[in-house]
Amino acid sequence: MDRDSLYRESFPIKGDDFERGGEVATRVKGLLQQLGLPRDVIRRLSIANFEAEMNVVMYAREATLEVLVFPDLIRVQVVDRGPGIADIDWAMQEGHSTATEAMRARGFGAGLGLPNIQRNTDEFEVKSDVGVGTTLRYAVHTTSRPKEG
Amino acid sequence: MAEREPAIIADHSLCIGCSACTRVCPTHALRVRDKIVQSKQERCLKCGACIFACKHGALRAHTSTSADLERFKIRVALPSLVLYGQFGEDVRPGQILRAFRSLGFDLACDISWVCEMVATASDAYLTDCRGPWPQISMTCPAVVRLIQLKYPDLIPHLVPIDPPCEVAPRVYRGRLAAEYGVKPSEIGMFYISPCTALVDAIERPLGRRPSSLDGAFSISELYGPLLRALRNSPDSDSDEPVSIRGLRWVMASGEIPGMRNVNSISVKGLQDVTYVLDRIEAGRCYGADFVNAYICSDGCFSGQLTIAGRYSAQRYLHEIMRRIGDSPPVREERVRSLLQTRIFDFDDAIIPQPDSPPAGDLRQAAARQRQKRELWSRLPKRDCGACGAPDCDSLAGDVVDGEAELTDCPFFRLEQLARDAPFSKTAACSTRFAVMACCPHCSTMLTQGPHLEIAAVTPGSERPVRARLSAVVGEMGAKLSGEGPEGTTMQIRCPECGASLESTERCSLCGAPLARLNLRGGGTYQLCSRRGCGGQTISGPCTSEGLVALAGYASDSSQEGS
Ligand SMILES: Nc1ncnc2c1ncn2[C@@H]1O[C@H](COP(=O)(O)OP(=O)(O)O)[C@@H](O)[C@H]1O
Ligand code: SF4
Ligand code: SF4
Ligand SMILES: [Mg+2]
Repeated sequence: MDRDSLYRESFPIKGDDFERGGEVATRVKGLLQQLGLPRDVIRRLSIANFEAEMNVVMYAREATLEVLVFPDLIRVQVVDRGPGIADIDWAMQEGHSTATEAMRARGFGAGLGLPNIQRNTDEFEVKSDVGVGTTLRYAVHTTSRPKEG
Repeated sequence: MAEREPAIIADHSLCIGCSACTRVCPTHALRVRDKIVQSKQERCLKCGACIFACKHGALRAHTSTSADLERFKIRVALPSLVLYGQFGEDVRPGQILRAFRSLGFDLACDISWVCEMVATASDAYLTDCRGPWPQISMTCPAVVRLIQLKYPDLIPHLVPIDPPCEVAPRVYRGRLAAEYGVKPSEIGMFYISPCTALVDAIERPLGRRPSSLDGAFSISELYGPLLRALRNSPDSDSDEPVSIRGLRWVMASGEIPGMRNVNSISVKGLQDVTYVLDRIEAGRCYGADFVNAYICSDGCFSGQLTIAGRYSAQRYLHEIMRRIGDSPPVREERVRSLLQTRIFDFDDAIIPQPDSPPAGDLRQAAARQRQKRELWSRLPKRDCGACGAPDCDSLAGDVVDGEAELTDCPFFRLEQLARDAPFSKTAACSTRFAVMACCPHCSTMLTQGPHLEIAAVTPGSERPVRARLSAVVGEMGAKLSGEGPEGTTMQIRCPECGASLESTERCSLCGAPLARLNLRGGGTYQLCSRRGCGGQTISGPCTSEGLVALAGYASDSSQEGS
């Protein structure tokens, strides 16, 4: 980290755990509410966190979602161990998905997750090592004008 | 009802401080302090989960009284349709309504037609609505309060249509005033409610508009009197017709059968409601247009103020509906014209009421969070509730807010005691716990309920006498029985194997030998062997197996040997 955060906390996510999918996003939302952040910031981060968490549940083995609080932004990094993403540009396109039929039946796999994260955040970056894992980093500025979600 | 009293009140004389209620509360609104339950009202949804959890009758619904009834010239009961399913399949709605006359009411009005109208009005509203989707019903006030508290962003999703119990008085009051020749204000309209949430919304409306009801009674408190009245009253077959669609609407928890907006779901129980609200907030909503959410696990049939089990009540109502056959539908034009009169409208804005601090200094908030986490990391993370807070996280928050101490946690306090100094009876604990002690030789558990059983031999006597001491630390009068005067040093033995328990250590108070026992799960407990001294020490590392937190243990201080 380039500078010191005001607060940081990590949350483990387990792959394949559809039962508890979304729990981390909910816990992080509670934390952001405790921090008294503007509702728009909480809403955008919650959308991003939920999508990131569900991607881990669907595609990866396990991950850590870390929240870092800075005076002017909230940064989140989701580091997973899993298959990685071979073609990031492809995956970033709306509607592109490798979700299985079963996942679609659960209402996932519309291929909108990653684009949605990007749209709701002010900084966004995906890095991936095929066979090792994926790292997602995104941030929402807390002081800027609300961005359209 | 007294002014703005909450619909759930705690009877402090019945509360034993067991803290069962604190753990079921979905918003962590309850604490046990000084052995008595306390509520953070601003967080309370009035969901009634705590009423179910309390096995001591200390929490109950606060409803109207007969004095409230007497304030009115004409007293009207408006029973929830759930009432119709409480008395079995052979009792018709009309009979139940008539029975209210023996209970001090002038009449009871059926609200099934109002339910049908509310369903039709919702349908009409949804047809013209432009989102945001999905829309969420306001029928369950506990869900609305949950949204105010935790999901303020979802407020625009609420369908601004009041529940039937609020609409019914607007429908009936003027009509009855004309019929009885009294002023509308001389008519008292009392809801017969299945739950505390609807009762509470009368005294403390969700918006600023006052409730159109004058009070409420619970189904459970009127059940007995109604049953008696039903037995004594002759049957008649001139029943007013009820609305089958209205009954169906209640059975389906607000889903709208046979209407345009069939794309609705009903979600019941706190867990499912939270699950769905979380997803709606995250922009994922299953493509449903209308969500009927109820905090109770089976909708209003499982309200905590009902009597018949939810399954039988629904089955009875089903059968009652089958026997009634059909009823003519309410004409939509009529409802549309009523819509113009605004009788369905929830005529106010729902205001967010977040329980988190207002947006402000992020540095300060982050510092608070860090402090809370640091405190939390020092707690045992058992989430046992023995401190009076629902879990370790809540206790840490309470400590940061100056409402509690880390030492409210018995484990924390114990560790501190074990570390700082062996304690004696002069350093009694404010939080109580009991020792689970075994014989170090034969491993027999010597704690029996609230007692510690040992054998004591007076010098010069061969006969061991069984003695019962209190196992409760801090109030342990280790007054050993036996022959000889107070101050006699006894030989303490295991009552099972007879081995001597004498320790190499001596009592810090009187210097007499200590008797040593093992605590289950590690650590030792030693007590002074001199009659009347009561000195004792615990040395760690001990665990929750050996020192059991004592929420709700009866005080048992002056144990004499037997
Ligand atoms: N954490 C991840 N690990 C491996 N693959 C991923 C991960 N996240 C996303 N992907 C890949 O990127 C695709 C697009 O993801 P996303 O935009 O969230 O859509 P969806 O989840 O609906 O498929 C996924 O189908 C998947 O192949
Ligand atoms: S602490 Fe126990 S006895 Fe007291 S109100 Fe709560 S559940 Fe009832
Ligand atoms: S009514 Fe519900 S929210 Fe209120 S204290 Fe009881 S359990 Fe908690
Ligand atoms: Mg996805």
